Amino acid sequence: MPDQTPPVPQDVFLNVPFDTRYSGLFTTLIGGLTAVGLVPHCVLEIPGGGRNRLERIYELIDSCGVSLHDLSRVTLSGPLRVPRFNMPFELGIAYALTQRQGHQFFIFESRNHRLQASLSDLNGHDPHIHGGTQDGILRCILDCFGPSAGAPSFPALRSLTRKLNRSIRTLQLDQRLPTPFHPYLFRQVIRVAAELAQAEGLIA
Amino acid sequence: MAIMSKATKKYVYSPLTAEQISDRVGVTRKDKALVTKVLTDLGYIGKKSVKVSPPSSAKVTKKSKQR
Repeated sequence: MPDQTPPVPQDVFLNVPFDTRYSGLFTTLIGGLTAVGLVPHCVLEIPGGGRNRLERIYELIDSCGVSLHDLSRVTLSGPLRVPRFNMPFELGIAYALTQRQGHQFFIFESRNHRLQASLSDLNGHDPHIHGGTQDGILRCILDCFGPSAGAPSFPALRSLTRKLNRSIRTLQLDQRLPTPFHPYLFRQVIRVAAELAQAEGLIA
Repeated sequence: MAIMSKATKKYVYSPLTAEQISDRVGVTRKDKALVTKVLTDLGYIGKKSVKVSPPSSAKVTKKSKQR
């Protein structure tokens, strides 16, 4: 049974595709969110398999004050060429939590008007369009999140992201990881982003 | 406590510090050491200086300050 501890306002659940083409946008999301003083979380923190995986995903979303859902991947995938429903399903969980408690969610998309076709039940919830670019992701973050201490400038986030990407390439090379979608690399990426943001004076 | 600003629809909250963020995702000492090394090698942060406390004879006591 999920516990009833209140969600942490600074914890953000990331519901994003884990594919190679998205890796740059994924690390940009982590960098941007960390630089505005938020804590990114995702299913990489949940060990694979196990009967209670869904329950643990629910608990993770439930523990976060806000969630971010990038529905820009609506293609067929895998050897069976089927659409993957995990992401819309997790958005459904987040929506249910908004009805029950103070959870908030944002939807990201790469193309205008596509969400109306792919998930028409969400008409009335305007997605934030990032155009599939890292700059677009950073603009969406600045549009959605307002730290009480004031938001960093777009150039400051861009500079941090450049340094973050270079650092991640080094970490991936050192640890022979082809993508950033690994539990321990996820932690390290957040640490890199936090240290860079602190060094740039964006967070304390 | 986070709130949604009605005018801008922004999610407003108190930002956390770098250490608080690291702690919340379970960053280990090993992760920290590795990351610091990478950032230092790339020249993004300076070498962390080790704090050395001054010798006890150099400490200014309240009494000596009054003199």
